[in-house]
Amino acid sequence: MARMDLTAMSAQERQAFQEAAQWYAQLLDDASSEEARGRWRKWLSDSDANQRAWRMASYVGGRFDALHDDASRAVLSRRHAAGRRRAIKSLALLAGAGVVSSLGVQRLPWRAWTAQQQTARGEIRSFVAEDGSRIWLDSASAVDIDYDATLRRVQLRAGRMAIQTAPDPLHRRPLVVQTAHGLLRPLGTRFTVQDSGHHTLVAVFEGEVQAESGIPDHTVRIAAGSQLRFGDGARPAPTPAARYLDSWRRGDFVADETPLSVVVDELARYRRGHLGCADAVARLRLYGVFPLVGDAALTAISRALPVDVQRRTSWWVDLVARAEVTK
Amino acid sequence: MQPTIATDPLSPHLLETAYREHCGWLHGWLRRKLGNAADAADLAQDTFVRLLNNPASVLFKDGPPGRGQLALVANGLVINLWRRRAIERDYLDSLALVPQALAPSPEARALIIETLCEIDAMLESLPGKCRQAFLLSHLEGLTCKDVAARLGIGESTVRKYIAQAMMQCMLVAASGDIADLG
Repeated sequence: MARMDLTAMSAQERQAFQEAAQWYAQLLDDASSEEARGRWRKWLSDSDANQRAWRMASYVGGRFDALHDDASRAVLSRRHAAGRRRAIKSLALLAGAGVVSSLGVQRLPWRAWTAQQQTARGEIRSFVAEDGSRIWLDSASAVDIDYDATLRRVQLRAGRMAIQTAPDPLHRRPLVVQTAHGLLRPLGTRFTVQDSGHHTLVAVFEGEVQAESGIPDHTVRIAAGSQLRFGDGARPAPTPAARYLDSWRRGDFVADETPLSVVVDELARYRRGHLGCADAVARLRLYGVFPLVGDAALTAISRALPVDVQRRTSWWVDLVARAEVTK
Repeated sequence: MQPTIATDPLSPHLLETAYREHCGWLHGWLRRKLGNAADAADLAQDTFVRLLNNPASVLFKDGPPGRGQLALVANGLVINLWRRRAIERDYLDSLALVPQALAPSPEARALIIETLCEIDAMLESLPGKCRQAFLLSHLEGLTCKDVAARLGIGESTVRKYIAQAMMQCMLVAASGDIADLG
């Protein structure tokens, strides 16, 4: 995730943060009327800043939800509750009768809303699902999360996501990731899934994933360090995973002798408008680590390779072969 | 974390200059603070990585970062490391009381410890009463009405405290001043 420089926070953003915090407190434990919910929805649709602020409030609230177990709550009580009395009480509770957890936490009103997560172009965000699995959502992507009593289902609607799965010790429900082209069954793992329109691309970095492409009897096991493209009717086998399919979670592109055309396609995911490269330079190979968001990568590429950054307009940028210097 | 603000990247050669000039000194400074060379070497690296990944930093608008600025960043990392170690110890102690069959896997533990560090950093910035109200509602699952009764204050005051606490936590989360948001 890109860090936010608070000194660069505009008055509008600060205001949106403040209002989001107030709405959060007001809607907490669902005491509010339908009329108030309506005003909240109106506020949410008023501006992008409001939506960003609300996502941040949901994120913070969600961090607390991620802690189901008494052991971790005992830690926070010890470190933060006034006096030691409460900590001792929590510990006593913990020691008693093997109680796993008192899940008396209210259903917060924003949960239904956050179950559908999406990102704006240029935004990379992570959040923790109800079961402790962490999900990263790439630029211009959308995902639906639907957990019920028997199944944890994550549906990739658009773009790219990565997931670090948690084992769900309380309910032992299987987790599946669904795309337009098939179904993925992870086995204790971290992997990236991308919907590229015509096919799905899966890259596994920890554990193993089983892919069902919808072709009868076509199930492929993808081991850590491999990637698989499926959904266009072929029966492909896994190939070595590209490192950038993992590093995007941190906002980095890791180029490893990567063709410039691939680099440009990746960087274009995070920009509005057109970013392209001329055929003459498309096969140049690049090596290094570059930030995905912003223009820094383009500047770095023009230093590393004999290419010029040609800006026709602010939204139409091409990489072309470097012009000869004439006197 | 999420809202992305475009900023001018820090020229890598400024950082290279700082690295050449001060890395040895920073390493020594960290070793004295931490009392061991391995942690010191890790955190010295992390300090430069953090500066590299955070070009928006207001720390060095003019020229390469100096020792004072490096120490400021490194000190934050030392505090994070201490926080992580303390939380880790504390959490594993608490876990010793949980029946083994119900204890989370090592993988899940790592995620929980990470979450705890993040929340701990957020809570630290809160004034006492805000923190109490926020913890009662978010950790013990009490309704605002119950929190009000417990603390002997009005419900509207509880909501005011929770909003205040939320705002602080959001600012901490947005500044990325917590473990690592991924």
